[in-house]
Amino acid sequence: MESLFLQQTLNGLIIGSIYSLIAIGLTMIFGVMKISNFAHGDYSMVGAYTAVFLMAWVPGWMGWVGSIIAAAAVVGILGIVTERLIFRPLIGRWTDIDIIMVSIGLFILLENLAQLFFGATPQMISDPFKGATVHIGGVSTSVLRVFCFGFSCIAIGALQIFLNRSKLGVAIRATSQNRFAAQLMGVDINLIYTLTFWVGAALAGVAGVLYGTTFAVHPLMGAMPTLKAFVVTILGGMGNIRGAIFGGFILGIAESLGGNYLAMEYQHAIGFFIIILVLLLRPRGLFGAKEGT
Amino acid sequence: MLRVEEINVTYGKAVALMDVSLHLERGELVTLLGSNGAGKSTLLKCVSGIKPPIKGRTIFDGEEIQKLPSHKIVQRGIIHVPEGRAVFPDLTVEENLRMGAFCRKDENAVRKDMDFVFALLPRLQERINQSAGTLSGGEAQMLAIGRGLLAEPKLLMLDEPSLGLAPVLRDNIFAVIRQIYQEKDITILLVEQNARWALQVAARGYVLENGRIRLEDTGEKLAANPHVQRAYLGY
Ligand SMILES: Nc1ncnc2c1ncn2[C@@H]1O[C@H](COP(=O)(O)OP(=O)(O)OP(=O)(O)O)[C@@H](O)[C@H]1O
Ligand SMILES: [Mg+2]
Repeated sequence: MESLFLQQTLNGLIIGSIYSLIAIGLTMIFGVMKISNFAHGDYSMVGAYTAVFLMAWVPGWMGWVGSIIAAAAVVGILGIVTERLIFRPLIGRWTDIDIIMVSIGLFILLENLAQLFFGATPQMISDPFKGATVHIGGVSTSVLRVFCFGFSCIAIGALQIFLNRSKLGVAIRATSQNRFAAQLMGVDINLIYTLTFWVGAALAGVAGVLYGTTFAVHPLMGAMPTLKAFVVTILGGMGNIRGAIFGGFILGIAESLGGNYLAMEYQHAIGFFIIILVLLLRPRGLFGAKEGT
Repeated sequence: MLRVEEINVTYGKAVALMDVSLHLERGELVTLLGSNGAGKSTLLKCVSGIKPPIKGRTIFDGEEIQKLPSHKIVQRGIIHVPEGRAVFPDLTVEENLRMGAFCRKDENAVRKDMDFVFALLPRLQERINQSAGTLSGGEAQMLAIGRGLLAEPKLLMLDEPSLGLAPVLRDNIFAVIRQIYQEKDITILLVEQNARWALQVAARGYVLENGRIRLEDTGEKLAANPHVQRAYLGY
C-alpha cells in the first residue's frame, strides 16, 4: 500500500518534470508577449519526430542524447520562425483573441504538415536502455525514465540560472513584468521576443523527446502536451515561471495518484478539474501573486 | 542638445500632440507644465522612441533620432523615468538598478554609479535584496530615479516624480532631483504637477495645453504670468 503510494508519486514526479519543461516555455511566452500559443505542444511533436528520425540513424543512447540536442536546435529554430513570421507582425495590432485563433490555426497547420510528411502511423522512440529497470527501496522505474527526469531537471536548472544570473535572462523577466519600462532601460524588445520563443520552443522540443519515449509519437500528439501545459500555466499563474515549474510537478503527481486511487480513466480529467478549482478559488494561480503587471 | 521640431503624435484618430516644438541646451533644467491629458507623457514617449511622431523631427546632439527604436535612443543617453514609477515588482531592488545599466559594458563605471545612487538614496541600499513590489510609493519612486541614473543619462526626463506622494516624501524627492542636477553633468526635462516648485528650480519652462505649446518662457516669468498663475499655481 505504502510502496504503491511511493511508486505513483515517483511516476508523477517523472511525468511532472516533463510537464514543467513544456509549461515553462508557454508561460514565458505568455509573460513576455501576452500570447497564448495553442501550438506550443506541437513544438514537442516536432521534437519527438526529430528523435524518431535521428535514432533510426544512430540507435542506442548516443542517438538518444543526440536527439535531445538536435530537438532543441531544430525546434528552437521553428520557434524563432513562428515568432518572426506569424506572431510578431500581429502583436500590438490584433487583439488577444485574434492571436489565439491564429495560434490554433498554426496548431492545425503543423499537425497536417506532420501527417503529410511523417504519415499518420504512430511511431515509437526506441528505449536506448533496452528496458532496463532500477529498484530503490520498494519502488522501481525504468532507467530511461530516470534519465528523462534527470534531463528535465538539468534543463529546468539551466534555465533558472540563465533567468536569474544572466543579463538577458533578467531582461526577459523584467520585460514580462513591465514591457514599457524594459524598453526604457534600453532593452531591444524584438530581441527579447525572439529569444523567448527560441528558448521556450527548444525546451518544448526537448520535452517532446522525453514525452515520446513514454507515449506514442504521431502527428496529433501535440494536443495533449498543449492542454497539460495550459493546466500547469493556469495552476502556477499565467506568466509565472516558478509557478510553471511547481505546477508541472503538482499536476504530474496529482494525475498519477488520482489515476491510481480514483480510476485510470479519469487521469486526464484531473488536470481540468484542477483548472476549474483554481479558477474558482484563486484565479491568479497558486503562485501568481504579482507577476504580469 | 535636444531639439523637438513641429512634431505631431496621434493615438489612432486622436491627436495627442500638434506642431510641438521645444529645445533644451546642454546643462539646462527645463520644466514642462500642463494639465491632465495635455500630452506631457506623450511628448516624453515620443522623444524616447516609444511613440514615434507621425510628423516632425527630434534632434539630439545634432542627429535625427525620431525614427530610431527606443533602445538605440537609450544608448545615446536619453533616459526617461516614467510616470507612476514602473519598477519591476518581482525583481529585487538591486536587479532593478542593474536593469537601469542594461546597455552599459563598463562594470567599474556601473559600480561607481551604484555607489553614487546609494549615497544619494540610502533607503535603496537598506532594501537592496527586497523585491521592488514590496517598496512604499516613495521608495519605489526613488528606485525609479536611481534606476534612471544607472543608465548614465545625458538627458534625464522625469515624468511627475512627486505624483501621489505625501508632502514630506515629495520634498525629499525634490531635494534629490536638485542634488542630481548639481552634482552630475546632466540636462533635465522635468514634468511636474507641483508647478510652483518646478518653476523655481527650472531655468525655463513650457506650458502644454491640449497637445500644443501655449507658452514658453523663463521660470520666473512663467511664475509671474497671470494665465499660469490661474491655471497652475492656484491663485
Ligand atoms: N495609449 C493611449 N491610447 C489612446 N490615447 C492615449 C493613450 N495615451 C494617452 N492618450 C491620450 O493622449 C492625450 C495625452 O495623454 P498624456 O498621457 O500624454 O497626457 P499627460 O499630459 O501626461 O496627462 P497626465 O497629467 O494625466 O499624466 C490624452 O487625451 C490621452 O487620453
Ligand atoms: Mg502623464
